[in-house]
Amino acid sequence: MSEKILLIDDEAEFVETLAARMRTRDMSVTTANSAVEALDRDDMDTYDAIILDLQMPEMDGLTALEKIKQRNPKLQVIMLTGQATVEKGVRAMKMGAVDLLEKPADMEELNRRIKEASNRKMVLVREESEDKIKEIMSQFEVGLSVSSNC
Amino acid sequence: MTKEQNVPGERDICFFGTVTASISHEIKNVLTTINETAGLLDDFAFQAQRAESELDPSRARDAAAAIARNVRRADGIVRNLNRFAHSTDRSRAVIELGDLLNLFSNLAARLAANRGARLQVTNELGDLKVLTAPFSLLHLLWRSLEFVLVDMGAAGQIQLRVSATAGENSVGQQMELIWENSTKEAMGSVADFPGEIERGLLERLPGLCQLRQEKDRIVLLLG
Repeated sequence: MSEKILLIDDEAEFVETLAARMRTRDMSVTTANSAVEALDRDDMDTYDAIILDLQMPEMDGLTALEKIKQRNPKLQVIMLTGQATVEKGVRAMKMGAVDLLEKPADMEELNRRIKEASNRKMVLVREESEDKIKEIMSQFEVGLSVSSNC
Repeated sequence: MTKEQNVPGERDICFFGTVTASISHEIKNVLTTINETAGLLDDFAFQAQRAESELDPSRARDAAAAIARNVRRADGIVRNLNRFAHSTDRSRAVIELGDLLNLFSNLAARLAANRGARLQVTNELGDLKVLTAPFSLLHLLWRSLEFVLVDMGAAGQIQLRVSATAGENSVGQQMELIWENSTKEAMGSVADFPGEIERGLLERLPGLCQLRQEKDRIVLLLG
């Protein structure tokens, strides 16, 4: 399966190079050079994983993480950072990031974490779908019992 | 300068730490890009080895050029770090003010960018040399910029200008930080600027120096 990834980092050359490497691994990658640019996207819900830099101008990674999770709590955010303090890392995880990797991240390790995040999102989406089906079914059953009593 | 003034205070050490931390972040960014580019070259070679695709010479050359470009970028950052470290060599030295302002702009670019601002240097003095206290002057400029960015909420372009001033009997120099957009209205002197720390740094500079805040600028008159 080809994972769909959104990569957010203000270092333009780094982002494009990492994206090129991920594409050679059959991932579909979209890049954004700021959190503001990423949050402007209408298709954010469709990404299997979002890779987010912690330190960026305009809007930092933690603020962006908060806004992403507010938009859709199921979105899987992996923090990728140059120099993370333990405090910031813990905060990011408490705020719902699924992983924290330090740059330069080993490509195969990043690949593995992306696949894990993607699988987690798939499970969450499936659970949500099953819940919806159950809800529809229960409404349908209530409707059936009402009509049979008539 | 008295002996006490030569001893770095806690604020000086904090300033030194802040600048070196910022530079280390920049170096790390460059190294990370070099690492990914080397990885990309390795990916190309791996694909060619497995005969998945032919090694495209132009893509390999682009990657090599990116590595060379980033090595030059890192070299520039390290040069700035080296010059900043040497600003502590002597408490007073004869330097080019325009050159020092360029160094300051390079050191502070990241601080400004984090607040959505860009720095632009205007040097009207050319290569004029003056006697000053380089480290204290850099520290004073840094504190002034922090005030402009944080307390004044300045964003967009901030001009760093060094120019000549003509007094009644003498010609002097001034440095200015001029901002275009601000979230706060400055009417004359607001907040505590220059504060105690800035006044202490001013006292370390040779001659009678003044620092004042105007509506859209901070002016440092050098003695």
